Amino acid sequence: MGRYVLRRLIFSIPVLLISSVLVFTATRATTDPSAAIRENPRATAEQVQRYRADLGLDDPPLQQYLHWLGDFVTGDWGTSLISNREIRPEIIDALLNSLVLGGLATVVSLTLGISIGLYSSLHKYSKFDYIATTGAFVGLSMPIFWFALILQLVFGVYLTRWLGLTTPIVYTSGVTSPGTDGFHLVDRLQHLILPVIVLSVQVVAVYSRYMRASMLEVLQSDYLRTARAKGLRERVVVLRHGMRNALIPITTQVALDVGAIAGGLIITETIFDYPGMGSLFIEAQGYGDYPVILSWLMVTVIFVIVFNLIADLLYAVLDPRIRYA
Amino acid sequence: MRIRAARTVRIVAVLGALTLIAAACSSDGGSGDDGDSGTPTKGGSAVFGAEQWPQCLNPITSCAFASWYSYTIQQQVMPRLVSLDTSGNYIPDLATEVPSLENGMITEDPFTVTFNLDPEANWEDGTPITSEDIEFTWLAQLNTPGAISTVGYQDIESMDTSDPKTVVMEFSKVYVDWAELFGGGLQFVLKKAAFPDADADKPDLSQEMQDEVPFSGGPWILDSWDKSEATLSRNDAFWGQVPYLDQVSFVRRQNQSTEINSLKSGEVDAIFPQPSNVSLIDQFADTPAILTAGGGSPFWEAIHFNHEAPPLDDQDVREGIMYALNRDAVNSTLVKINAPESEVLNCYGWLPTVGEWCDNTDFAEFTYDPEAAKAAFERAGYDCSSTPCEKDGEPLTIEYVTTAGNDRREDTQALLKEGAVAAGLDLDIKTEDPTFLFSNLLPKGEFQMTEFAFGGSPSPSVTSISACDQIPTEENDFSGQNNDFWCNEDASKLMAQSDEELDPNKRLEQIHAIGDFTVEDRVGLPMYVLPQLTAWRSDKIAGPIDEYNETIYSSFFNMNEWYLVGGGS
Repeated sequence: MGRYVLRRLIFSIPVLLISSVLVFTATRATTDPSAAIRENPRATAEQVQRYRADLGLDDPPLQQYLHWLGDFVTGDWGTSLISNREIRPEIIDALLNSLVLGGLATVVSLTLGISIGLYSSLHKYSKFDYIATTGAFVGLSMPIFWFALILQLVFGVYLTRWLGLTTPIVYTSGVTSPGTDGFHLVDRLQHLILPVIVLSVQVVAVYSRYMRASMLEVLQSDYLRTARAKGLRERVVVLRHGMRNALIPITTQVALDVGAIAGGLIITETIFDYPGMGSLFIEAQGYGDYPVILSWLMVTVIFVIVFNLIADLLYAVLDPRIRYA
Repeated sequence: MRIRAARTVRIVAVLGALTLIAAACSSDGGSGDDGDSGTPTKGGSAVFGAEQWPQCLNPITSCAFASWYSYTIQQQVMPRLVSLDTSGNYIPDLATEVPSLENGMITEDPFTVTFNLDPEANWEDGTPITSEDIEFTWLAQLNTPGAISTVGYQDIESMDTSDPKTVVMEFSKVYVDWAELFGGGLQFVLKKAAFPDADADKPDLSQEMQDEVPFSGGPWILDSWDKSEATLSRNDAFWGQVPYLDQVSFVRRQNQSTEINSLKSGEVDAIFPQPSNVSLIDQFADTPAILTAGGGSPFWEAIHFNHEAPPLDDQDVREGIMYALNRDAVNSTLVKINAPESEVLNCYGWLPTVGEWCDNTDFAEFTYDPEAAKAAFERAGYDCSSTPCEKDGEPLTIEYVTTAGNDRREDTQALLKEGAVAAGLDLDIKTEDPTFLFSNLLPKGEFQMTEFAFGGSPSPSVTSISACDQIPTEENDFSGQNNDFWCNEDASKLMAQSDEELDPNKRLEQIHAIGDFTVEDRVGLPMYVLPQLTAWRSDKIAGPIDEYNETIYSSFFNMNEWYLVGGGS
C-alpha cells in the first residue's frame, strides 16, 4: 500500500505541472489585471503603463510563469491585486468555509442517500421505492438557483411573518449574525440550514440512485447467497456483506464530490452570500485578480488529485479482494 | 427499544426547533413598534445590506474610487474638506466655506486655494484636525506605491501649514477640479498621528489600512471589517451631528434576490439595490412596512458609436440610427418602473441634476422617427425601399454589443432592435463579458455600436472621455478613454480651455459649446440617468432616509441621523 501511495504521488507531479501550465495560460489569457485601472476615469495612460510594469505584465509569458510557479511551490502565493492582502490566508479561510458547508451537506446527503437507497433496494417496487424514485428525479431536475430562492421565501420571509417573529428562524444568507463574537453553534446552524438543504437535495437524489442500483446488484450475488446459507442473520448479511460492497461506487462519487467542494459551490455560495471558495473565485474573476485565481485553481487541482487517490485507497478498505501491488 | 429511540429523536427534534425559535425571538432586531417613529432617540443597532462588497480598505491604492467602499466605510469615517449636497453641489464640510475667486480664497496667478478648517473639527480621540493632516494626506497620495491616481495631487507644489487651522495650497498650474482633492465625491483626509511609523516627508501607506482604518474624523468609527461584515460604532467625539444609533453593521448581500429576501425577512433594515429590468418597487408591495425612495443616480447610460468603424464614420448614418432608436420606449419600459420620474436624457457627458452643465435639450430632436431615419440613411447613399436599407447590395446591419449579464441592457437591445426595423435598420445584437468588452473590444475599436454607462462627477470636464488625445491607440497602450473614437479638434481645444477656466460662468459657456459639438457631430445617443433606490423597514428604522441623494454618496450619506423606531434598545 505504501509503495502504491508513493508511486501515485510521484505520478501526480507531472499532472500538477501540466495543470499549472494550463491554469497559468488560461488565466492570463482570460483576465486583464489592468482592467480596473483602465476603467478609472482619473488614471492616465502613463499610470496604466506603470501599473502594468510594476506587475510584470509586460514580461515574456515563460518568465512570468516560472516566476509564479517558483513562488507558489515555496509557499509564497503573493498578494491580491485588489485587497493587497496575502492570498494564502484568504484561500485557507474560504476553503474552510466551503469545507464546513460542503462537508455538512455531504454528511446529510450520505446519510439520507444511503438510507433511502438501501431501503428502496430491500423493498423494490414498494410504495416507498416509487416515492423515492420520483423524489430523486424531482430533486435532480430542480434548478438550484430557483430552489434556493424558494426556500429563502418560505422559511426566511413567510414563516417569519406567519409566526410573527422579528427575525427568521433560519437565515436567508451569511455565515453568522452581525455583531456575533466568537463561535455560536445555534447561530451558525441557523445560517447553514438553507444552503445545506439546497446542496443536499440533488446529492441525496444521486446517492440514493447509486445506492439502490448498486445494492440490487449485490443482493443477487453468490456470496450473499453463501452468507445466508451459512445461517447468518439477514441484518448481518445485508449490512456487513451487502452494503459494504455496494458502497464502492458511491465512494468514488463522494471522493470526487469532496474534491470538487474545494472548488467551491459557486451557485449556492453566491445566492447565500457564503464566503467560500466559490465566492472567492467569482470575486477574483470579476476584478481580474489573477494571482488569486492562479492559486485558487492550483489548490482545487491538488484537492481533486488527492481525493482521487483517497478514493482508490478506500476501495481496498471496502473490498478485501482489491490489493495494491 | 425502537419506541424509545423514536421518542428520543422526536424530543431532540422538538428541542432543536424550540432552540431555533428562541434564538429567532431573542435576536437583536428593531423594536417592532409600528407607531412611534417621530422622536429620534439614541441607542440600538441596525443592519444594512451591501450589494457589492469592498475588497479592501486602503483608499489610496486598490480601493481608490471603489463605490461600495466609499458608501460603507470611507465616507463614514474619513473627513472631507468640502462635501456634496444632495444635488451634487459643493458645500463646506471640514472647511468653513467653499473657496472661490469671489471670497478671495482662490488666486489665479499663482494658482492657490486656501481652506480654513472648522475650529471644532477633531479626530475620534479629541485631537484637532489640522493643516498637517491635509499635508500628510497629500504626501501619502504622492508617495504610496500603487496609488491608483495622483491626478491633481501632483500639481500641488507646496502647502503652507503654518496655521494649524488654515491650509494654503499652491499649484504649479491651474487645476480646476481642486474641490475633488481631499474631499468632494471620493477623496478624503487622513489622520497623520494614526500612522506613527510612516516617513513624515515621504509616507508610504501601501501596507496600511488592510484590515482596519485606525482613525475617524467622521460620524462613525470602524470597529471591524472582514469579507462578510463591517461594523461601525458611533463616534461620540464627532464634531458634527453625532449618530443616534450605537452601532451599524453592513452585511454582504451580493445576490439581489437574496438581498430583497433579507429585507423582507427582517434580517437587514435597509438596502440600496441597483435596479435592473424588473420593478423592485413591485417586489416590496407585499410588505407594507418596507418603504422606498428613488431617483437618478450619478451614472448616465448612452449608446456609443465607433466613429472609425464604417459605416458609422458617416455622420448621416449615425443620425439615421439616432432617429431609429426608440429611447422613449426604453425609458418607459425599463427605467420608469423603478424611477417613475425618469425622463430621456438629452445631453452627452453630464448629469442634469448636477449643476447646470447639462443642456438637457441638446439631443431632444432625436425622438423615434423611422421616416427621418430613412431619409438620413438615403442621404448616406442607402436604398430604403426595402427593409433593411441597402447600399451596393449590402444590408444596413449594425453590430450592437453590450455587457453580458445585465438584464436591463439586454432588454434594451431587444426593444431597440424591434423599433429599428421600421426605420430600415437591422441591429445585430450581441453581448460580451464586461471585462472583455472594456479591456479588449472597446480600447481596440473592435465594435460598431455599444451601450454602457459613465459615472458623472461634480466636475464638468469631459476631456478624459472625449478629447482627441484620449482615443485609445498603440502609443498610449490602448488606455485612452475616448471609446467613441470621436475627434473634433475645436471641441478638444475647448475642453482643454474649460479645464483651466476658473470663472464658473465662462466655464458654463464653454461646456455648453462642447455639448453643441456633441450634437453637431452626432457623437452618440444619451439614453437615461440610471435609476437607484433605497428601501428600508419603516417598522425598524426612521429618520431622513427618504432624503434622496443623487450623488456618489448613496443613501447612507446621512445615516448618522437614522434611529430606531420606538427608541433605541
